[in-house]
Amino acid sequence: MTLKEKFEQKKYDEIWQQYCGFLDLDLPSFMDMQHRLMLEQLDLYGNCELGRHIMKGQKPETVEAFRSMVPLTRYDDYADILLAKEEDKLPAKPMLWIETTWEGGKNPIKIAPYTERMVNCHRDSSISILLLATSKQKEQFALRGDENFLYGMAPLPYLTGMVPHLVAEELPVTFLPSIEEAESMSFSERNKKGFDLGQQQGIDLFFGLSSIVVKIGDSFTERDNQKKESKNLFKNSVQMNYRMAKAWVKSKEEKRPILPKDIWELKGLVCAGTDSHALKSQIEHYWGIKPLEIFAGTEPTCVATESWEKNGLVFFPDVGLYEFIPKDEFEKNLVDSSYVPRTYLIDEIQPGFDYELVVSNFKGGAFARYRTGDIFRCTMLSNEEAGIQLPHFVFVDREPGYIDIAGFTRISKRTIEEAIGLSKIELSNWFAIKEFNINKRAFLHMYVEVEQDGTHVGNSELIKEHIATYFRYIDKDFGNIKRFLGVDPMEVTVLPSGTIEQFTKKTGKEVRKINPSHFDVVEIKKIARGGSEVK
Amino acid sequence: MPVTQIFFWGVPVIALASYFLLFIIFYMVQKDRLIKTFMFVLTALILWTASSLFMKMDLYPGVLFWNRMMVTGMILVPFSLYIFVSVFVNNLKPIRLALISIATGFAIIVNALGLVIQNPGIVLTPMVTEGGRAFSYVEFVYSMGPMAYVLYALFFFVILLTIYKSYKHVRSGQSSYGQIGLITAGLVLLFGGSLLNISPTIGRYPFDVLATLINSFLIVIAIYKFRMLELRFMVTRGLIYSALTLTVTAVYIFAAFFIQGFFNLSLEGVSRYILFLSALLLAVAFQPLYKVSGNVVEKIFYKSEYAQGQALKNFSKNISNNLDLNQITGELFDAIKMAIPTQNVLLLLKQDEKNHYELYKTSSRVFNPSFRISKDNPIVKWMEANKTSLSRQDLYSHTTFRSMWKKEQQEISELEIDVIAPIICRNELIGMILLTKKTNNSAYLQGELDLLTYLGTSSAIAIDNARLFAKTQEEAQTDSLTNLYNHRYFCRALPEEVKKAERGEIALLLLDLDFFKLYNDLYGHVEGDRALERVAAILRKNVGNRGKICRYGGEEFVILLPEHDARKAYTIAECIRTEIEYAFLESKDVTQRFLTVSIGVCAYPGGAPNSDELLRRADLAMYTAKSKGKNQTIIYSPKDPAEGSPGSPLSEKFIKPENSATIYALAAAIDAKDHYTFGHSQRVAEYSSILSREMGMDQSHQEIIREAALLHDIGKIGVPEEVLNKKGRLDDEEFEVIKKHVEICIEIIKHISSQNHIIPAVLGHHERWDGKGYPRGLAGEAIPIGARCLAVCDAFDAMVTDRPYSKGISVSLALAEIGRNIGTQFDPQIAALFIRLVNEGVIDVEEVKAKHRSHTDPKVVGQIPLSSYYAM
Repeated sequence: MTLKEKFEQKKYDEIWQQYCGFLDLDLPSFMDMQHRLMLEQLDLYGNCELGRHIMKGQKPETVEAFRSMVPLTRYDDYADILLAKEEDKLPAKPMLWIETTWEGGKNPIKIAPYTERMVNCHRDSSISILLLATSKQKEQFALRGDENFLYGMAPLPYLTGMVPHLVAEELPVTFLPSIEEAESMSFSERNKKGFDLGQQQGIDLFFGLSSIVVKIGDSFTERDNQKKESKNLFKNSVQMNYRMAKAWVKSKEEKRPILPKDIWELKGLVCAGTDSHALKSQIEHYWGIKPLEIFAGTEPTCVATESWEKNGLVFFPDVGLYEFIPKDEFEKNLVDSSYVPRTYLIDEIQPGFDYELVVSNFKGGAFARYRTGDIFRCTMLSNEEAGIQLPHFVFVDREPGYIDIAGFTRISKRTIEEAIGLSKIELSNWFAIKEFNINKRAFLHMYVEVEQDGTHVGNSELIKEHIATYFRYIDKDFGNIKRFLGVDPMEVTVLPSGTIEQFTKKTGKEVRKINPSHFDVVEIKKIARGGSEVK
Repeated sequence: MPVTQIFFWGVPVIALASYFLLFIIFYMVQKDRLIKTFMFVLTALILWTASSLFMKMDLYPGVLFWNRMMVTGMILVPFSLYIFVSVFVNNLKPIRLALISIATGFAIIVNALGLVIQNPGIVLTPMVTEGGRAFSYVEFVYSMGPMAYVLYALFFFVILLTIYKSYKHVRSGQSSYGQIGLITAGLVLLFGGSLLNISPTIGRYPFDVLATLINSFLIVIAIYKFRMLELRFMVTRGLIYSALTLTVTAVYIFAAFFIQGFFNLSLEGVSRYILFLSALLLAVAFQPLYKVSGNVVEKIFYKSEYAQGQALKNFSKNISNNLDLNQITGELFDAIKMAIPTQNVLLLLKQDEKNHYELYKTSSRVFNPSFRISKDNPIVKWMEANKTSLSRQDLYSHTTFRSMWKKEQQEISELEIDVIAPIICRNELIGMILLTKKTNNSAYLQGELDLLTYLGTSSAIAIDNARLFAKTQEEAQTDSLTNLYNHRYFCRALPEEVKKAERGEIALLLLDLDFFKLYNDLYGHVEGDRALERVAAILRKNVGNRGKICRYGGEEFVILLPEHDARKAYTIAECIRTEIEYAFLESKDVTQRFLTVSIGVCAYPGGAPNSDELLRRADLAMYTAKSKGKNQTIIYSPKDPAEGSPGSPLSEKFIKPENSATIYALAAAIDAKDHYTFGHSQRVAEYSSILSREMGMDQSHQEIIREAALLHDIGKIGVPEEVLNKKGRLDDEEFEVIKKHVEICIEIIKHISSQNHIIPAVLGHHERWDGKGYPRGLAGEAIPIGARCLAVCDAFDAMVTDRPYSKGISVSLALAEIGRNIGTQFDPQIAALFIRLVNEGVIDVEEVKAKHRSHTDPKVVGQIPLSSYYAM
């Protein structure tokens, strides 16, 4: 029986069990599933050239042996085979290839093969997400399969582009705009068209980058929307005009601008991307619904979703084998690349600690012990109140070697060095860190030192303008941040010359160029204040 | 009464009775959307039919009223059918429904206003004479109103729309014609029946009512056929039979009228006897009808329940006290097939020593016999946890099954397994029952799944007991080492099999492993057991299901080959013999390469008249093979010289030399070849005898060591003289050749069965205490004690004797060298004792050397280290 038929026959219990039943698993059952599927994957992996290459010709027969024999991997380890799309060297025939940018890589993009089973699994995960997004308590959900769906994520060949196709195969939801139309539009065109249609037809479901979802809310508060909407009265459906009128009355009553929640009563809102945890309360304020955060990546696929409680990510049991590198271990590795960090399985981690996620694909996927570079904090080992006996996580950020701004761009040391080089501004020292403004919007904060010999520019605005110009040149997405989010993604602070050197002398530590530790930055600021004034 | 009148009255009465019956049944079942809509159809039909009947009966409040009600019913029937079919095909379109509802409402109003049927009335026809009797008929007369044709158009439009909907649904592939065909056929019939009403002449007769009656029955069949209702769970048998009785009575009454009309009789004129007779005849005639109707009801409502009841009854009876697994599972299959209309049944049973559930039985041979479900499969875990049956749908929808492997899912899918039920005994999943599709391709009902679970549970203890019994039986007739049948089984099976072959043939192979005692002595019983297991595997592989293999005893095996003559049996025997020889030749350990087999073949009836003779003669043939040099297959022949000879001194004498003479002859042969070391073997024998005596060994053991010492270098016969007598150091290749003399020793000595006992000592005389020796690399006490004695004596004599390429060293130096190698090359205790014995003069070296002097080459001078002696 198809999902559509189950909806028609109101078999909601069965639907919940099929797609959200994994939340009833206890940790031992979850681990059993992980082990079993990994054994299947080892069988596939051991019989292909990529597997032999990654596993150095060994054939581990247990998960323990696999973890001890096979080194942790990065995309570089796969690049030669994957970029050439050598399908006959893979564990299973791919159904499609998914693409993403490769910051600091030897190629502009990374590609990852998806087998039919991985696609099916992704389909199931997508449906689970929609059910949970429209759910406020266990086994209760508002999804009925015929909703209007505003989909604000990137189209194929990006991973996010797979979701509309997969959902449409299962349910007669109406995408705003249609999938075919959306794929021929730019990001901003698609969102604009989607909202235009949403105003006509209503919006039940919304899936977007957290930063974008907030930005849309911001735009409502910023513009004189009442006037603008009145022009569209005749284009709107009766129902929407009624809603607009109701929204207008409500906003007047509460003496505030119209917000999205006044116009649309969403059944579900799904958000993703860096900083989601910081933006979720703002999203709820604007949209009147608790957003459901998910986590997905090109290489690991969609690995985690929040439950109906929307208070932490829970990993899907059948997507990949999850290993976690504790923070002190990956930091040691950051300082000394020859250091092999230890990993722990999901039943071995402790709450309150940060971990880098390592994933080995199941179902014929290509990646084994792949370091995703994504940092998660385990918030609790189980949620007893909700009856979920699996660990909950928060997606904290990318690994410290990268600065991810609102999920739009990932800036590495190499990117910054390139921008500084092109700008011809001579900085004697610098470091960059991701910080948040009072509205919880992330930005790149560069702390720079300029030679005090009277021949160099020492004005922070000027330095910022120069470097930002080249950032936009090197990384197009960096330029889009201001355009799409209206947020200045960069700030420059000029430190007194020699501050960083003093810090090193004082502490004996080198300052990390990207995302040095919070306390190192505090110390540096203290030194700066003790010397000449920080500009 | 004329036939037309019977039809005029009978059809509505029967239809009405049937509608009421259906209405009551459906009223009592648990109603879902489909049933509710069908009850709406029935309500409309009852309104139509009852009003029609009451109108003809001119009941209060009158013909006009009942006519209006009848037409209202007629209007509602297509409307209700449209809704029913829409629900049936799951495609109810609200806007279209609203439009049809408006049109229907309009039609009802128009009818109430009298614009459809005008001047309806009941008239009595003028008296007519039929068959000499005068009759006056009741007839319904009417005229069409101005809106009649519009209403008819609407009526037919809705019916056509409904038919089209069904057709479209089939075309789109959402349902099969089989599912919806009956309903469509009913609709076409209704359409046709109603069309006849357009003509007032034909419309007088209730063809339309007849069509609705047939239509409603077709719908009921469609509903039942595709199991949309669990009718049998909802309706009491009493109710069904009451309703059936009413219906049959109605048919009976009208049949009586029909007979009356047929014979042109009037009630007034008929005599009491004729009336009684006709009633009796009808009653007799209707008895089978009632019975048939009863059976139909049973079939429709209670068929599966009845079958299930029977199946359970038979099953429980037949499996109780049954210990035959095959019979029990056969009964289980019969019960399942009887109670559940499934295409195929598969039974998987747990294999204790294996890691999976194996296919034990299927109701069809088309299944891959290697199909299995591993013990860690999520299906097993689910069954153990839930103890109930599982549908294929669950495999796709339940979280537990997310960890199924692709190939596991594919197997289930390819076999089209729809249901899996557990067989649980004492909280352990001992097996699973798997069902493929149902015979009518419909879905399994919950009741059927429950029954299957019940059958699995009830059979569990019987299956488990039978398996235990079979296992015990098997153990009683199985050799625990080789898993072949044992001697006890063979003794029972041989006469049985020969008896079975009275009109056919049966061959017997008797196999005896050559040199097995030697093998056991050399490598110990553990290694010997492994060799037997290996041989058993070879036998199984070659015999397969062509015969029965038994371990007759020790290293003897027998193979019964029904339907084989001696020639065919010989072919198999030769395959076995060659494979055993090859298998041990391939052995990594070179010293293990001597195990072979001698086989005797005899066949019944050509070679032996009965089972006893068959065994005896196969045994004779085997002994002949042994006496002819072993490692061969001999077919029994009465002319064979071995007849009567096995066990007799003749054959033993043939191969058994005089011990001492043979040993000395062999020792002399090697000493003759290696003439520079003439006397070496004798000297080593002298030293060893004294040493073993001083070690406290008994006389027989001392003798074994002495004989071993005499023959320890017999293998040098096979070493080329240029290597053996080379002047100067040996290179690596030559050294390897020299090392082979130990293996050659076995090749020679194994043929002297009386001397096999010395082989362990001979074979091990170049082993070292620290495990670095050859040929087997044994260490410490794993080296036979005789070999450890020989090692010291051999090395000592080699050092003190002049060789072609070196002069012997002094006794004191040689003893010092031995002392240095205590614990590495030599057994510490034995070497220490030897040194003491020499030093104390118990071993008088000079005397021994004088007694057994060697030839020396005066040209060669110089000394060589112990390692070089050791190689020799």
